[in-house]
Amino acid sequence: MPQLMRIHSYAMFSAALRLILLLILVVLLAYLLLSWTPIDPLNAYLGGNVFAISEPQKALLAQQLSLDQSVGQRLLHWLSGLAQGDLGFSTLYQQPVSSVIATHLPLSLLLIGLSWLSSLVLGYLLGLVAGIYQGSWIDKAVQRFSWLMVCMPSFWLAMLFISLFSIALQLTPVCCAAPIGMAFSEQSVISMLHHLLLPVATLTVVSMSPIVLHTREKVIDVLQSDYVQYSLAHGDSLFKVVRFHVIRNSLLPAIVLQFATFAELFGGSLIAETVFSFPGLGASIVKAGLTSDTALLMGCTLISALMVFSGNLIATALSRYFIQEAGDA
Amino acid sequence: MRRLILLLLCCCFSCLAIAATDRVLTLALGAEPDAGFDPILGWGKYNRPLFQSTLLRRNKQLELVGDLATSWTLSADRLTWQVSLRKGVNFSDGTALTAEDVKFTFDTAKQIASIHDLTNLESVEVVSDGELQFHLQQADITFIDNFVSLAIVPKANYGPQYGLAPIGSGPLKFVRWDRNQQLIMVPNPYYYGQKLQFRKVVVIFSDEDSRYSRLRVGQLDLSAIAPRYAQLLPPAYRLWRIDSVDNRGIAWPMLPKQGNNISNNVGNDVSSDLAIRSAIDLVIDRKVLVEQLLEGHATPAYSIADGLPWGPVAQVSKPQVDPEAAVALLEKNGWQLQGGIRHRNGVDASMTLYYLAGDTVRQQLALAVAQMVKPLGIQITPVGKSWEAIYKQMHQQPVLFGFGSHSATEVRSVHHSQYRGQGYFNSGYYSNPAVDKALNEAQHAPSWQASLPYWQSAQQLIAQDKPWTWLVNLKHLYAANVCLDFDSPGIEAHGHGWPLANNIEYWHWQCPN
Repeated sequence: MPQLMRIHSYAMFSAALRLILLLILVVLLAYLLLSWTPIDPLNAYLGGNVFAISEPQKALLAQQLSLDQSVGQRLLHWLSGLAQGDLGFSTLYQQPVSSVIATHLPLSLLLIGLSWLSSLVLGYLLGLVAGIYQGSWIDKAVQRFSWLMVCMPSFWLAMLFISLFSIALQLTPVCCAAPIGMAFSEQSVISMLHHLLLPVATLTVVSMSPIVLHTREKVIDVLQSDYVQYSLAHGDSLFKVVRFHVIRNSLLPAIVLQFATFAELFGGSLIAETVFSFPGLGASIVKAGLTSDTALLMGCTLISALMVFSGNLIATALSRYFIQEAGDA
Repeated sequence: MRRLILLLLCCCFSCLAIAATDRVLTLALGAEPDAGFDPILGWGKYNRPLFQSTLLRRNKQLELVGDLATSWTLSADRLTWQVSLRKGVNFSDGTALTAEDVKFTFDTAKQIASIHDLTNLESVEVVSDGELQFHLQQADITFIDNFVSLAIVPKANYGPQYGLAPIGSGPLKFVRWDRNQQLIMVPNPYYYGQKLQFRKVVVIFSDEDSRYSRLRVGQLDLSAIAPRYAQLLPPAYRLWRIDSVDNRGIAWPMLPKQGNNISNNVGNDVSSDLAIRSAIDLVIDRKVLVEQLLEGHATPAYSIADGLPWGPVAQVSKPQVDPEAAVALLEKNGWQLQGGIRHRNGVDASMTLYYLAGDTVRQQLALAVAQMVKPLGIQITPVGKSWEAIYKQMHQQPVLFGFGSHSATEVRSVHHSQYRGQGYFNSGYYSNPAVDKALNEAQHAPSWQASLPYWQSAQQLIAQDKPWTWLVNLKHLYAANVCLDFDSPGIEAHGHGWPLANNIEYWHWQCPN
């Protein structure tokens, strides 16, 4: 037991170190890219109305938005704020960055969480069936479907879904997270699910291919292993074999893989949110980028880096833990 | 019997009225103001602020009329505006609007670097409860535009987060704003003007395509739309085409490249010749641009302020299309045709025309202009770039710009030599002492009405110099439920969407519910 504790604290320490390194690199890179962008933040701040104000006024404005400072100065200023827990002030939204994130992050998390879960369940089941019936028409159909989905951009699928289910069939809402005039939390659970249906379906379909294909391979591996052959030779039914051997040996790798692909899901959600006008963090990130709102973009970048990092960390921890458990056993 | 019929009729009308006031209006007007609904940060500068009211307003004919102000007079030295306020005005929370609130609004807007340019304001003085004096640093009649564009906020309830939940004295009361989604408003019970004829107004924020999908499923009563959707409206909608001064035109570099004594990045030896600019003006067929290129969703443009009270007098400024005259003009001025391109003293008649990349209307216009001038032997190469990239080229190559404002200041900023090379305004370094004089006289006029002839005469002079070739005024397109009537909306400025709501209190629902 003390041995295990030592390993855990070592793992924690190394994870924390890696997180800090990652964040430093992300911050530096993002700042560097922002300083290279050809977008004029002042122009963006004026909402394209570059003609609206006089030159002295423009100079004053640049000073108040601290655009007259160098990139280094601005970075230092931002970092010193961050050290005190202040994410900065969004010039675009005229609001502290923390409150912008607090408003939009929960909806994004809900969307990503639901899609993550449903692509895990659906992807695993499809992979399992394809693996068990290897070579049959089901297997072929599932594989082709997965390959197709890997190449399909999420925004395109989203538009396809909208034109089919929302406009032609009128089964689902055309956009947004709630009916007109309502906030997300004011509506009934049914209506909530109704509005989440298409975005979640898009993200699920687009992101589940790796897990389908991976699970299929794993299932075939397990079915060809000696212990399964032994079990089958002793007259155990396929159902029993699947229940005792296949699921036990293929579910965990699937979950680990699913955590590891968290980054892609996050990226996909930005695009899906934009297409569905879903009021999560996605639209804010896109707007912040397009208008060079440094504080907001940095805040969103930090949050996304943290999310991707935790996804990977969980994946690593799970795989370590199970490898170790397998070693112990 | 007659009385009975009258009574019945009254009943019917009152029923209709009740039905109308009970309706919820869903609109998609345009971009969400990201910084919120704070007039000091720019909300309401180009459209009616809805939640707040301003001292003055422009009516449909763009004349100045009082809103919060009942009288506004300029002192004899033209440095002090005396403004009296309407009595008994309340904010939507029931508190009274006083002269202190007006002073606070102007002081704050001057202090915070915002898109309101109040550099000419010396101080605001409260004379009594309902009276104020605005002291200016220099005489400038266009200062009055600030009375129209800066809406009044309550001193007691103003803070950094004001724009997220504004309180004001306008026709509508703020209920809730779900960022990136919608804005919910109800009629302001304390509003002093005409009452809104709807129970609730919901403004939807989404991109063009998403708005169109919502039209397709009938979720919206009104939406601002792009021309490409105009032919594909569902049957329950009617297309409204609103005239505007949202114009597009080409700014020509007016100085020669050689010997302009300013900088190497300034001047163009081709466009600096009046003969070239006049010839181009003579071959551009605005009718073709309007009818074939923009499918009729525009009107021909001849100045920066077509149809506005300070615009040029119509007959003088409308050139006729005449290619032969254009060729004769070029020949007379020594531009010789050689291998399809004209030359003079070793200079090719060739220019690059910059336009904002990604704007399809501007792109089409630039390409069409290039084609139209080609038979003359003038070579124009259209190039799409970002504003940042155009900024670096605009003093030495022509640029396709869009202007159009409800404020005459724009005429000055774009044509006065004082603004040469300043920002995007007078990018071509246009300078004509007679124009400057007329513009200065307009600015120093004793009243708004008295300034109008000066603006007009300045524009007549400008039309002769042709520092710009104006192409079209875009029409702003809206899809609206067939039952919704906008009364009569006025001519719109640069900016599509929100300005339609300027007369929202006169909108009504024509169908029985």
